[in-house]
Amino acid sequence: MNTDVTSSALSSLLRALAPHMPSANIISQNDRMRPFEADALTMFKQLPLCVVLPENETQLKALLCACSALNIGVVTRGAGTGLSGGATPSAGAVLLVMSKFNCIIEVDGDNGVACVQAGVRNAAISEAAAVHGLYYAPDPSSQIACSIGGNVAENSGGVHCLKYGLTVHNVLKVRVMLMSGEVIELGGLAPDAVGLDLLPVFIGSEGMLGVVTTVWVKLVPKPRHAEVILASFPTVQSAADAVANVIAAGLIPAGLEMMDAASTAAVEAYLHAGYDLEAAALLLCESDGEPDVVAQEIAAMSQILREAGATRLQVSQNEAERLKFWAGRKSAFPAAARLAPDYYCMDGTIPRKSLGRILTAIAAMEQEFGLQCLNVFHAGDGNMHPMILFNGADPDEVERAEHFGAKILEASIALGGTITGEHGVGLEKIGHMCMQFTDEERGAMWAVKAAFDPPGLLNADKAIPTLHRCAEFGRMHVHHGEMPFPDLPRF
Amino acid sequence: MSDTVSAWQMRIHEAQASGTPLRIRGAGTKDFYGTCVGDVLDTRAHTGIVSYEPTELVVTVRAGTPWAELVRALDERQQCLPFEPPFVAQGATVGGVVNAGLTGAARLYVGGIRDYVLGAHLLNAQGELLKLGGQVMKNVAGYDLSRLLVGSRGTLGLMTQVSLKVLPQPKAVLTLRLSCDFRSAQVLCRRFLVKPIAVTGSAWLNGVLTVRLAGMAAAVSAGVVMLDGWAYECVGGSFARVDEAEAVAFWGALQEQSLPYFSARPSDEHALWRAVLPTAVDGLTVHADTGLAMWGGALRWLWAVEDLSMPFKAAGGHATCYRTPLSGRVYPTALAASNEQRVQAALKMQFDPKHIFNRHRFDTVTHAGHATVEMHHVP
Repeated sequence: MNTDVTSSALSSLLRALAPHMPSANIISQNDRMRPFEADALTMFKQLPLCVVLPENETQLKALLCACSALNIGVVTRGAGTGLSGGATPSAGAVLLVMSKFNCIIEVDGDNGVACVQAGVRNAAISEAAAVHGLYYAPDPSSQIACSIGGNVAENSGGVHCLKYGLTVHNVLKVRVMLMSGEVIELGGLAPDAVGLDLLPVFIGSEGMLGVVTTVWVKLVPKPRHAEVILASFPTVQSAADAVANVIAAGLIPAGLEMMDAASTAAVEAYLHAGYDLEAAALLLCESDGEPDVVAQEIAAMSQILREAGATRLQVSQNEAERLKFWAGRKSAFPAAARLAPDYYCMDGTIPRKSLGRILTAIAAMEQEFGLQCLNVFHAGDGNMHPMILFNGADPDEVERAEHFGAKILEASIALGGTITGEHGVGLEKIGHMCMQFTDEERGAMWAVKAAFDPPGLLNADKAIPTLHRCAEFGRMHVHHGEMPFPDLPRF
Repeated sequence: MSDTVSAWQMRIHEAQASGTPLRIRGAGTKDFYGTCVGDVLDTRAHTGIVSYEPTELVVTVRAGTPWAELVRALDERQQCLPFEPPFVAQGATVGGVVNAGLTGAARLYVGGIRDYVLGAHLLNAQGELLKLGGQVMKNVAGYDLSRLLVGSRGTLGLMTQVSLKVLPQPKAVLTLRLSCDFRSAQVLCRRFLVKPIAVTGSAWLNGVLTVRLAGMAAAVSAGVVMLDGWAYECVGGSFARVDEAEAVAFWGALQEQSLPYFSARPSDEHALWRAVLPTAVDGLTVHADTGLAMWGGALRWLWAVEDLSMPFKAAGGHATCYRTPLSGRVYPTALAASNEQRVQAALKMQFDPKHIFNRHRFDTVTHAGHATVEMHHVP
């Protein structure tokens, strides 16, 4: 963007905002904006026009009205833990940071509802609800840091979403400010919408339709007890079959995760979780709830896993052991980071039945591209996170890694899956959207955008590519193990 | 593409050219639910299960398929779609169930229809076939337009097929009954929301609360103990077990809306209202201790002469005139807040600018013709 145009837009905006908010809530110096130039996908960096941190809806409205009047774009950011570049600033656009909307307004323990502002952390909701024996179920790995507003934008899931659902299943109502400065409330505490149900299309819309200010979430009883089975399998296919058999028996585990031998070796070297290094694949299969029910489920699941050919079966004997079993799975990402200077983390979903096929295909691609790939899976729902190891200093390896990743996503779509199971499209997968959706299908998405945001100013260059934009590629790139938020467990 | 879908595309092109509205209709079990305008486009020829993998917990089915046929296929594999839509015995189709968005006693405990939709195919106003969502549990690519179809009453386009997440059937089911007034029932039922109890249905009618427990055998037995404790605390009574055949008949009649209550119109002046409240709201003073209540009191079915839309709106809920009075009196359609309505209308305009699909469907139908505000009219 032309520098003169930018500086004139900035001064117009600052003039418009001056009567409405303290100057401390606006950051426009480049050096102070650096911490905001990327979300957790740091391969994309961009300085915004300025960073604005409103404290309340009045200030937010002033900002959106001013931007509408001046035709300035807005990118909304929560805690910045997103993995697809959805909150990467856009050149010449305001970065709207919602972190000052951090108030837990009400926890209604009698009805299982919490009303919180958009910037409240996911884990803080469960902490506040704990006195009532309740919690907020969706548990993205970044839950200690990520905000509920960001969860709404991304329709976040987590390990327990097979049983407890994604954000869309657990949010009752959202209060949203449109680009026009108008406030609308979608969903409600009374079930069922009046007219068209706009809430489910808003959830997961990646900040392109409106700015979430307040969220009402469903709270559910905290399970009194949980146990996990750690099972070893001689082949990936036998582990995949075991997953199918558990489901076919009418059991829905609270968590069902799979790791291949390469991942197991990596985490065992890193953490010594006691994993079986002889196994071709490990399954972690959890049950939670009332102790009697858990005992019944664990017995049933153990039998199924054994019959499916498990060579070793360990059931956690106490909470410490349960957490130890999970610790290995949760450290798969930092463990991978120790094996190579760089890795690409993919995020596709496939139908579960194709698990064996995709792993076989990935093994062939390892040969084809001469690069190693570790595989960790949310086996319960077919969401996979292959990690392609490479050396970013070698341009040839970078190119091979990129092709490898693209080929995995193509294979996912060919198997009836999707290019993103939980990280979102953002900037990262905008090119792949054209692989999955036709012009007409993306047209329908743009029609929704036009209904909510007629001038098209909200996060305009993300998630839904225009006809002209179907060319970009990219993935989460981790260089020298330098992860953003390295202390967060990653799935 | 099937011949049926191609033929429908032709119909849509013709409708666009002539500006004639199309009335999308399956078995017609919900013809009373809003106004019907236009040439009928019958979906019943487009049937069959496209794919069903029990171990994937996903079924994909064509819109004209009777819901009962889908239920039979799931039954064979001990799976289910637990939200209990009405009029299945009368032939309700998959497309009609999804587009009407109506659910039964289990809804508050197992989720609504949109919680089970993973993807759908839609013929839009240009006759283009759009594949929305997908067939996998976790999918965040693009906006989720498939869930938007639930309850849209066919106003956004012609849904040709849908992919739904299914669940295992519960291993054990038990129904219990307790005599109590509505308020006590509501207090007791509120605990289902926040305690680890395997409840999948509640209904209060004529001073009797009926509760269904379902899940693993251990969960059901634990539930009985909890329920008895609460019954003692709330009304000093205890729950009685209901015979299995009687329980199946009761929940079936409730789902099908064939309980005598649904047809017991007190007079020609009475309308049947479907009124929904937040679970936190206690019984309103209007008709506080009458009617049929489900979802722990969050869903009320009330025969009334007066307009109930305002008191329920004031209490944070909404009320729709579900069966109009025989006298022909007109009640206003339940409407969202005006700014949300504007976005809904803008969305409809984007999807169907000429209002080809199910024109006026959100309006209340009366014997005197349809009336009141057209929801999708852009001011």
